[in-house]
Amino acid sequence: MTEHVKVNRPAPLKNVSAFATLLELLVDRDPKLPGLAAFFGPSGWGKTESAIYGANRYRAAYVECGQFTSARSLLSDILKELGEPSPRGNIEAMKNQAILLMVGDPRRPLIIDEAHFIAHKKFVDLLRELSDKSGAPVVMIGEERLPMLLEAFERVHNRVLEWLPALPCDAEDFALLTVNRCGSVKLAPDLAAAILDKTKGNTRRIVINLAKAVQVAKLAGVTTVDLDTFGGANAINSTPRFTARKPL
Amino acid sequence: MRPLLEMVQLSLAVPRGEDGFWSVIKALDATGRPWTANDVIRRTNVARRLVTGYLRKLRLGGFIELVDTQPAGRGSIPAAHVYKVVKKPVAAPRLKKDGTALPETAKEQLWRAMKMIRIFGAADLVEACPEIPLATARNYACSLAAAGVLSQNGHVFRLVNNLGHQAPKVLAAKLVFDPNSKKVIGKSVAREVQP
Repeated sequence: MTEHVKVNRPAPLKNVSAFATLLELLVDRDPKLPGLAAFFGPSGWGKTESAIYGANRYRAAYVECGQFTSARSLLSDILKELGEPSPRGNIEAMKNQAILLMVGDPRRPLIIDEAHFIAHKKFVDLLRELSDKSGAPVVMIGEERLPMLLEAFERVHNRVLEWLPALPCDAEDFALLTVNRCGSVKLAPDLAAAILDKTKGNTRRIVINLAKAVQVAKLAGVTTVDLDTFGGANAINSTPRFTARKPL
Repeated sequence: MRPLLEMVQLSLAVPRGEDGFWSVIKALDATGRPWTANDVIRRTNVARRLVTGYLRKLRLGGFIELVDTQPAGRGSIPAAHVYKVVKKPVAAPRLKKDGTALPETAKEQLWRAMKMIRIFGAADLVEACPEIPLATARNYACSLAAAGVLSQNGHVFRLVNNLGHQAPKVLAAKLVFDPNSKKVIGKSVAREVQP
């Protein structure tokens, strides 16, 4: 009786539990051990979405970096998330204030998302300093080149307690996603296998395809969508066959 | 609608609730001297047992520590416990009666999830926060969208105004409206809506 399956229960995707375990490990670590960690993987593998469950469980402060993040803007964002609504002063003063706030609650992790934007800049050492001086865990989330970029900063790199690579979506995760996203619409095994193969386990692309499958089911008036109804293998939103040319 | 806003301002000016007590305690601690329950009660305007009850939970949870006991003074001055703060988180600790930590409220979890995914439907929020019912997530998102914090496009919301670390609260007001003069009369009280 599939109608009785609760469609909005959590998908305990592998990345979700992996990240929650990572936070648990960091929060309960031996205080002598360093408190940095990195969670990395290609774009679209659902890193941020997977992090939400763990972040909520440990009341984490969450900051997102961008292309133009500077030491000052990063510190300002961190302070705002830690509970200082209008950060002011020079970088040193802001850093000390951030450390003071983090010391007050050393079991509360700080999550820095899109960390690959800052991992090649000198001020990435700031994260090391925040974690070292406060004892609170700092987790960097970034794309797959994050560990490589951090290699340039040995001081930061050797303080990373745990390197956690994000996992691509496998058949088990795919089934959970289907239950969550498609509700009563079913995917025939051939379509499921084709989507998983064509997207190479990229969660974002899978979700796009699942939304399309629901559309197709509505239009065709069927409850089970197979590969032919979907429009063949070419209709699947898939990873490009060739990697893009590197910019000159 | 002016009285309603004034009431909200007023309740912000006078610290109340556990958030208020905690902000008073932090201010007292910042002076560097140990303090008593009376110091906290004097700075707020609630029943004594509300403050002492919270102090008890804080002590059991290891957030404050008993450092001394003042002996009873002359006349009717009773004995008092002197405390100092040991752990000082920014937000007021939410504790059970035995001092163990309570999980975050649904709205705090949803607010963090919104800041993290940025573009989402109510179902996405529930997927990320498994303990929260769909209706709670949807109601909260719609309230925030109505206030302009999120922008709504069909079932999809987008975070447009990141207000900061504390989750926005949804309040409900009880008003007395006089249809003769077409005015709200008397004082209005706003309370937080339970999730």
